[in-house]
Amino acid sequence: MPDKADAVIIGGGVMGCAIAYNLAKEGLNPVVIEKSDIGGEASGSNGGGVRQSARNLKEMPLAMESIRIYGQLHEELGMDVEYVRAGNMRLCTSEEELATMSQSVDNQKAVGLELEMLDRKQVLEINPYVGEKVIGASFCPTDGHVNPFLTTYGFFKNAKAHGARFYTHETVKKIQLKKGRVTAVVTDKNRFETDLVVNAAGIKGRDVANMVGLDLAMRPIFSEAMITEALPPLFKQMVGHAKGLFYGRQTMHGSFFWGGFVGTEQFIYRDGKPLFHYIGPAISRMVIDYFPVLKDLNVIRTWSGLIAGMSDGIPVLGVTEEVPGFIFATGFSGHGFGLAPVIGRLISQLIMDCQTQISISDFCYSRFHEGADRECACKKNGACTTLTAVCPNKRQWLKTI
Amino acid sequence: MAPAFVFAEQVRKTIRAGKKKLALPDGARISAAAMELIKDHGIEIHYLSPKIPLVHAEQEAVAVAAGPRIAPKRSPQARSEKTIDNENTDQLSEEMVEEIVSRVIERFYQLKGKKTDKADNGSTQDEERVVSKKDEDLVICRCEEITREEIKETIRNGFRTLNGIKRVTRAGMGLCQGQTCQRLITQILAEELGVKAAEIEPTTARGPVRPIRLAVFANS
Repeated sequence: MPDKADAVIIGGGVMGCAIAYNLAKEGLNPVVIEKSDIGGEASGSNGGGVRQSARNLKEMPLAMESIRIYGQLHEELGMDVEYVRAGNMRLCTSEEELATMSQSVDNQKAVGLELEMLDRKQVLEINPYVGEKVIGASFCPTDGHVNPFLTTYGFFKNAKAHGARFYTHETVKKIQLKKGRVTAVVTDKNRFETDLVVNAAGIKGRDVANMVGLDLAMRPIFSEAMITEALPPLFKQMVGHAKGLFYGRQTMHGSFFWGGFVGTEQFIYRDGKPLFHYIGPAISRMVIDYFPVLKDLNVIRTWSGLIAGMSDGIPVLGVTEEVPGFIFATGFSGHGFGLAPVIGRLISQLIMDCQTQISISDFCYSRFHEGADRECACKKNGACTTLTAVCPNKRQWLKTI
Repeated sequence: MAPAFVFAEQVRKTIRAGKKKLALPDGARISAAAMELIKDHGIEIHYLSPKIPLVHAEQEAVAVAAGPRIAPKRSPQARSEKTIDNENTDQLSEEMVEEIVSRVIERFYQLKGKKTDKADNGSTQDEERVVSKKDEDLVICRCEEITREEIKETIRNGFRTLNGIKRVTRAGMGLCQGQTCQRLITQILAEELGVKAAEIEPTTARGPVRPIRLAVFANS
């Protein structure tokens, strides 16, 4: 006897859990299928940055709304997610970096983000631990960081409490279509009848899209990170390199998280995510360079994760006319965690009402069809004429049963 | 024993101290940077053999010198028993046979996880004295102070793997990286799920094996 579900969400990361939570709250009966653990891939190995600065400008409205939601997320989820809103500092060491940075600061100010350039003296006032070579920084005071495990766990727990069903250690094998529409999802253990599938599979989002004959310009980017032993609180803000070569923070626990890139990551993906012997030391050198006080701290754990990198660096969201009943929420390209709460809401709004409070048309699937520069056709919050045919409109449907 | 790693920092310390000799545990691996320093400063390396094999090697040397017979491989328990070991006669007395048989049976039960009468008496009394029966009092992960209750709650909330429990509770994320608590959590998980502990997958191994200073890691 096959199970029935109002929606099947593929992927039990923070996105899948947030979408399931919002749908379940609206009264739907969603099922989440996860191949390993809840938050087992990128949601369990990222830095937990929640930032608006240094984003693609198209993502800015989403990021701003997300930060607003993060501010009251502990109340909504009924648990502490260790959210700290203490700013994000991007450190510059040369005039050239300063020039590039102030240009991008101007661009971001133009879309309404509150951030500023700091000189060395101002940087030291905010963070007295930076090294000699730092000559300035950009600073966005409303950015911050969060505990990624607890956030994912919070969404998971609350989704379950609202009636969402989770199937972990289960792999989706097939998505069945009938006359082009989604009708069922077959896993290695179960079969779920549904007319709606959400692709929130992160790095495996491309494989899931392939199951219905679609493809994404996505590839895995390897990323390595480390954690040190704990110290009493030194600084609260998220810090990073001007070009994003390293980034880090002190967690609420006291330990320091550091992640970073050496430039070869895009080319070194291997199954099983082995650590590469030169990346950890390279991150350590940068950390010591920028924060010399930390040089005697012990590194206690290093790990790696995979970033679902899209060719244009922004996610794919929303419906597509090619496969009715198939919804994208994947390809966050390494800066998705900060967006999770807002994505959960928007995808849920799209499913319930066919429109979203913030337009997601910049992230449509069809942008890849005629080259990267093509604008998405439908500008009105995804609810334009070509899309009404594929719109799930679940609120109407709920009224009929 | 896992081989020790020698980094340049350690060699530099030796040089600064003005020493010309460096004592290393047997089988130690030397990093490239450390090797360069060792060559440049002409430092002698002494390999210290671990204690137990040293004694063992001596015994073996004696055995080899005494005759062509090669000393047979024995379990450490048997080695300490003079009565059995030092008799080179072919025939065993009845008492000895009995003792060997009883020891084999005891070991068999140990391996099967059952206890013989003798062992049972001792451990239950100890357990009652030391182990609190309340789950919320029992700290499983000592580095992060995570109790048995918190771990059980996480399992009941749907986390069925050691990696999942680690992410949510922080058990095993502390300074010792789960060297103490991983076995205990495995047991709890096995109990809760009703499977054998051996069926539970260990956590993903994360380097470094021991905490390592940022400055040292940067030079490796």
